[in-house]
Parts: sequence; structure tokens; C-alpha cells
Amino acid sequence: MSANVRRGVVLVIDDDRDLLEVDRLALEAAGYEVHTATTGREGLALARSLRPDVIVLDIMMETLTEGFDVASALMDDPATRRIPVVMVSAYAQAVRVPDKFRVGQKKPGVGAGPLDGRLALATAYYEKPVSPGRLVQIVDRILTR
Amino acid sequence: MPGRVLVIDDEASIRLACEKVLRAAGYEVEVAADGAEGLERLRPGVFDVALVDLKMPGVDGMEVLRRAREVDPDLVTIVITGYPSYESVVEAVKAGAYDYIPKPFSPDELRTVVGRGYEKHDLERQARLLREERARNLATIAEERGRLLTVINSMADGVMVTDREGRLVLYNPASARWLAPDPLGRPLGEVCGWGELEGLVREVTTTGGLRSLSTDLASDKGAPTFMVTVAPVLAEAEAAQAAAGPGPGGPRPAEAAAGPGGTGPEARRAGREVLGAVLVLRDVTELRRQERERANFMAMVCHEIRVPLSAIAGYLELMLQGVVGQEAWPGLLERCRARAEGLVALIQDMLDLSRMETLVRQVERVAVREVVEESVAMLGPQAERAGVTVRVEAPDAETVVSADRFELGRVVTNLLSNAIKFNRPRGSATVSWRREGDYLVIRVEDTGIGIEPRHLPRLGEEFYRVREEATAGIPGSGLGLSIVRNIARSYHGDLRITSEPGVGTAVEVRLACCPGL
Repeated sequence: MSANVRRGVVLVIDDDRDLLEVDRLALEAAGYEVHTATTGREGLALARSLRPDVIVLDIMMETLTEGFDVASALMDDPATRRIPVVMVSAYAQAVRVPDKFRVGQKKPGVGAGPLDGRLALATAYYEKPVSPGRLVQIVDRILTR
Repeated sequence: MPGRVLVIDDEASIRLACEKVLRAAGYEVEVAADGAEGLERLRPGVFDVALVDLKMPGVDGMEVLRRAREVDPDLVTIVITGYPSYESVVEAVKAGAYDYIPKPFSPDELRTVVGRGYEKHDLERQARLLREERARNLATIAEERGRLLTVINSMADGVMVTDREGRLVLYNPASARWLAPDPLGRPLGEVCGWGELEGLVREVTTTGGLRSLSTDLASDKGAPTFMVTVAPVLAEAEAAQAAAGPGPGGPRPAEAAAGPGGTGPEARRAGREVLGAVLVLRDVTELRRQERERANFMAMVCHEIRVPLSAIAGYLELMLQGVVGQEAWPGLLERCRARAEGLVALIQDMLDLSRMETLVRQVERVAVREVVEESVAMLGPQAERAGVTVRVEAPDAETVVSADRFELGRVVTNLLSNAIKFNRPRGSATVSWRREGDYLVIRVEDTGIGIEPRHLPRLGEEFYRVREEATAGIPGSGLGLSIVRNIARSYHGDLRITSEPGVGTAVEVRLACCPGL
């Protein structure tokens, strides 16, 4: 697949530079235009200015749940609320997922298990490690839907 | 302890002879020239044996014997007599004398008689001690019940005892918080504010199982958490055997009461009668808090391992699947190596933390200079790569402290490593130390990137790292400072950080490890 076919713009927000690099290399090779941010603040600013097609968002950055704050701010902003967000987290303990990201779930939200992959309408949640190939698949599926 | 002998005789030559012979035989000897002086010298428990001349002017020997018995009942008295008539000896024995020695006597005779007296005294003393001990034991038994109650009442854990019907028969003050006023003799369900307990007691008393049951009191957030253990009170085995014999209406053995939950096999085997239940209520708030802390720590550890592993696995997949061309591989492999090294360092740090929790500290005399020089040498290559000059400045250069060499080295190494990592090219890192009373103060100063004030309170937290543009490429587990902090605290010390962003950081660790002068 040629890298100069522009298939869409992906913003990856993660505080680990190597994970950002892996995601960038994989998505670029799949033909996406990739932008990266290492903090929630930077990510939010980029999301507003770039209006990416998909956002890949790490949950645990400076705080345990910084990703949720970012997602929340994205959903509250009319300019970004429709952008699909793929949440990924490497935090092992059950993270309580805020109610606003839950859809049709009766059970208390936790980071893994039944919520995996379908956290909210346009949002997916995955536990790391998400392999580069898998991430490309997830983004592909969201954008062809 | 040598035997002590008192010689009471009005004849100076006899006193002198006795003193000489007995001293030579290893006794301590005191002498008195007449009965009055002898009685003056007598004090309870001082002498083992008294040699008493029967015929003395003033207070005579008989009178001394009688009075000596009152002053010191254990004293063994031996009379010295110049005319050993049957009557006088009998009278002396009646007055309490143990033996007699006729004048004139040879040194051998004196030694034999006194030796015998000394042995008798020793035996009697031991017999008396045994008698006293027995009396004390009897008193102890008499007090046992009272003591047991005192112990139960002093316990920090709440204790309640019920009879077989679940009526409260005993409780201690620590359990009173769960109970209504005047709860004795009333059913537990009626007097206890903790509803589940009644059911637990019923289960334990009817099944007679030896197992105990635990339950956490689901309480409000912030309120203490209690755990209760309920165990059956079982009759002594012999009593149970008697009770298990024939006799309608007699006490019910546990085996006859086997409920659906099953009787504990041990209880069934022993056939012991269930008398009631004993409940122990323990405040486990702190325990639970520690458990949560540990679980959080484990979750953080998993996160810290998973992230670099994800990065390594990601790079490898990109290479193996040909997503990136081979010309880019060296860079990616270098990143893999760096992350793997980071993992190794993380494991090392975690081992250090666990070592501090489990190992006994080996305190020895340590020259601070040696420890610092070792650390500086070890970090030399790292400093060189970073272009950072390491300086050692020490006002109290020859300070020797009592500390664990490993721990002291870890403090210096971790601080210096940070000072190098978070520095700038051509910057410097300075290690110094000084004494402040009983404290050793180790100071590491750098000319590095500094730390924003908002991060300062959280530094030292496990896995806390300043995540900013300037720190992004710097490897580390986030455990280095918390190891230092833990060591400092274990030496009754602390960790103080002052910093100015863009200028540098100074970290001071205080350790109470200088023996007072």
C-alpha cells in the first residue's frame, strides 16, 4: 500500500515516545497522516486545530486517568465531539471508566472485559499492548464504517 | 557466695583462732566479744552460722540463742561449751542450737562442725524458698480468674462470649461500641448493633464446627473496617467424655447437633460439647489500607513493565512484518535495547525496594568518602557520555557513620544518577556531605533542567516522574527517589529538594547515622 495515498488524519496522544513512534510508523505505512502529542494539553490543542479523523488516546499519562479528562474535553467541545476516539491503556488495575463513556452497560465500568472495544458510541477501549497491525485494523474499521 | 559466720565468745584467743581457721576455710567471719555485741551484729539473712559461747558475762549464750531465733529464724547456731554436760546441751538445743563443739577443739573439728551447719543452713534456705514459691503459686491460681478478666479487658480487640443460646455472657470494653447498655444475659441479636453477628454465632454454635468465620463490616468510606472471627467455645475433652455418656437431658455433645453445614471433623472426632461462641472483633482498617496500597503498587509495576514491553514488541513487529525498511532498523533496535535496559533497571530498583522491606540491615562503620567515591566511579562513564562534570566537595571529609553500606551507596548513586541524567551538556553535579549533630547530610547539586514547583510535593512517590518535553527522552523507573526517601525515613531522616527550573536542583538527604559524641 502506497504511503502517498492519503487515507485520513490520525492524532496519537501518548506520553511514551516509543509507543508514539511505533504507532506513527505503522499508521504512516498504512497511508495515514499521523500527528503525535505527548501530553493531554498538547493533544487537545492539536485535536482542535487539526480536526483529525481518528484520535488514539493513552489513558494513563501524568495522572492515572488523564486520558479520560482529554476524552471528556473532546466530547464537550462541539468542534471535536464527533471525532472517534480509540482509548488504550497499559494500566493493569481495573480503572473505573467514567459514566459518560459508557453505553448500555449495566455493570460498573472497568477497563477490561466486556467494555473492551466498545466503550462509547464512537469510542473504543483497548488494553495495551495493541500491536501496530491491530491498531491499523482498528483505525481502518472506524474510518470505513 | 561464701558462707558467713558470726563468732560470739568472750575469750579473745578463741575468737582469734575461730576467725583464722574459718577464714582459711573460705568463710567470711565477724566476731563479737560478748552476747550483747553479738546480738547487735545479728541481722536477718546476713549470717549462715553463728558460733555462740554458752558461758559469757552479761547476756549469756542461752539468751543469745533464744534472741537469735527471733531475729533470724534461718540462722544455724552452734554452741561452744567448756563443760559439755548433757543438761546444758539439751537446754541449748531446746533454745534452738543445731550442734555443739566442746572446748578445746582442733581446727579440723571446728571446720567439720561449721561445715555441717553451713550445709544445713543452705538446705533450709532452699526448702524455705520452695515453700514460698509454692505459696506464691497458690496465690497465682487464686488470682488467675481475675487476671484473665484483666487481660481480656485490656485487649485492643473486641471480645464477646455468648452461651449456646446466643446470650451474651462476657464482653470487654473494646467491644462495648457494638453493644447496647447492660447487654449481659440478653440475646446478641437484641443488644448488638452489628446485625450479621447473631447469624454467625448461631451457625457456629449449632454446627459446633472448629472453623471460624470472618466478615468485614461494610462501613462508610473513611470509617474503620472491622473483621470478626467467631469460634465455638468447646468443653475440655475430659468433661466432654463424661458428658457424652448416657444421661437423658444431659448436655448435648457437638456430634449430636450436626447441622446441614456439617460439623467440623475435628470437633466430631473429639466429641466435645459446644458451650457457646467467642467473637473477636479486630480493627483491620490499617491492614486493608496497606493491602490497597500494595495492590496499587502492583498495578503500577505492571504498567511500568507493560509500556516498555509494548514498545519493544511494537518495534519488533514493524521490523518483522517489513513495515519499516531495513535501513531504519538500527535506530529501532537501539530503542529496543534502551527499553530493555530500562526494564532491567526497573527490576533492580524493585529488588532494592523489596530488599529493604525484608532484609535485616547490616550496620557497620562506614567512611562516607569511600561510598561516595565508589558511586562516582560507577557513574563516571554515564557522566562522561552526558558531558557532565562530577565534583566531590566535603567539609566533613573523614566522616565515619554507622550505617548499611549498601543503603548509603544507593542514596548517593540514585541522587548522583539523577543529577547527571537531568543535567545539561557541560553542566556539573556536585556531591558533598556534612555532619549536623547525629545526622549525616548528603547533598547532591546539579546545574540541570530543574523541577517545576508543582512537581516537588509528589517527587519521591513511587513511579512518579516529571513528564515534560525536557524529561521525555530520559530513562528511569520512577523508583530512584522513592528508594532514597524510604532509606532516609528508615534512618529517621528525610529528603529535601530545592529547585529552580532551568538553573538546577539540590537534593539533601538527612540520615541519623552518626553515633552521638
